[in-house]
Amino acid sequence: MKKSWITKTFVPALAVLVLTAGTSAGKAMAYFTTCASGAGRVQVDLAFGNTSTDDKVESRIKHISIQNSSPTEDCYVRVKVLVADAYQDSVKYSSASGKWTRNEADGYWYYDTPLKPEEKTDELLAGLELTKLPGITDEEDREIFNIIVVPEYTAVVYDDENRPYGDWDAEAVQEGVVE
Amino acid sequence: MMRKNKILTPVLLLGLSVTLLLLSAVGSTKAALTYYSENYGMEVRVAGIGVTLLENGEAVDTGNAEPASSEGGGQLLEHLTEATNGKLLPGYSYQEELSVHNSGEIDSYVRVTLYKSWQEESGEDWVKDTRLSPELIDLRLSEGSGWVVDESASTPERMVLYYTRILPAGAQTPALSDSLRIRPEILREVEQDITGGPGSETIKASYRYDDCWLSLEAEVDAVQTHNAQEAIRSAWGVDVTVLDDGSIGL
Repeated sequence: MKKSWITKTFVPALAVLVLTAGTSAGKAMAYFTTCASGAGRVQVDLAFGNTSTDDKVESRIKHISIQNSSPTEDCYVRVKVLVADAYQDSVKYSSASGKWTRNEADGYWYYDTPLKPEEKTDELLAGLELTKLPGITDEEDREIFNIIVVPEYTAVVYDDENRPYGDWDAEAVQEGVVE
Repeated sequence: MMRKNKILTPVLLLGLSVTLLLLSAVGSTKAALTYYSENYGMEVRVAGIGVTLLENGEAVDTGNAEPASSEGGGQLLEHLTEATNGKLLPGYSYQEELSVHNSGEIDSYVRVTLYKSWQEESGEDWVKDTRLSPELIDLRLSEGSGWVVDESASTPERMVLYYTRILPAGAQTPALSDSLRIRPEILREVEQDITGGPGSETIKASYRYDDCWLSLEAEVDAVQTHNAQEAIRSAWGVDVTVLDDGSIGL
């Protein structure tokens, strides 16, 4: 009997009250709103570059040039020129274009403009002023006269003013996958 | 006595509800009678609210208009890399000026929510690659433009910006951003794939973000300026203070 009273009278009364309150609340919450949106994607294409070195010798002068052999990526290049201690002070460098600059702090020669794909640097000349060290044979001279060129390259990045530079201090954060 | 109360309470409750319902109906009827008669027709026109998202001054999405893309909004970043022959260069700042035009007929407050992420194709869908950092996507905000970032609602992937002034009908906000770039640090993320056994290992290195898709989404919300505090709370779920000059503070 008690259950019947709740079902028949109280519940319908409560439902009407809630519906009435709901109707009023709907009116109070109506505000003018609208929205608009946009979305887009761009694919990132990153690839390692590659270089090749040309360092032919003519009349005790080494003609050094580096080519960007990547078909797609620009790069900056630098070289370190290693010479036997005995000839260290006798090697004279020159860059006709003025684009090669030596950094005394690290000993590298930096090419000051980025290389486009397949582009080649101007020549850096490393010439030995002495024809031969005193007191040595020609054979000994050939063994000692050895200029080694170590080329390096790095990808081109841009600063806040969109000026290109080479991030030579970058250290790769590597994530290995071993199969 | 107890029994009498048991009957009286629901009856009173029911009576109160019916009365409220009737009064509500009477109110609507009265309104109809006030605004309409057989002799005089009256057109009531409600001023519309509307906003348009602009990218570098060009309309991207006008809100209520037909969607410009299948994703229900306009297309962003279509011309982003034109300055560099279609290639996205690390560190290079590309023009990306996002602003909002009030294309409605009433003044509004506006906010923009930006989403940055890395995505990859999965069949016909796009899925976020949550292993990659959205912080490498650098959308540079304009200074002194009247836009403020809600830091409490922002994450590395999402930025919520409020235009603090009233945007009058027909007016346009200053650009909230001026450029977009991927940070140069993206080149430091390298993966190594090592195959073969001891003594004959082959190491293949590749950039971790190569072939990934940078994604940018922008959502513009607008709300009326009348009864602003309540309207903003109701529509956007945030409490703001409205100053005398109409500007809002978070």
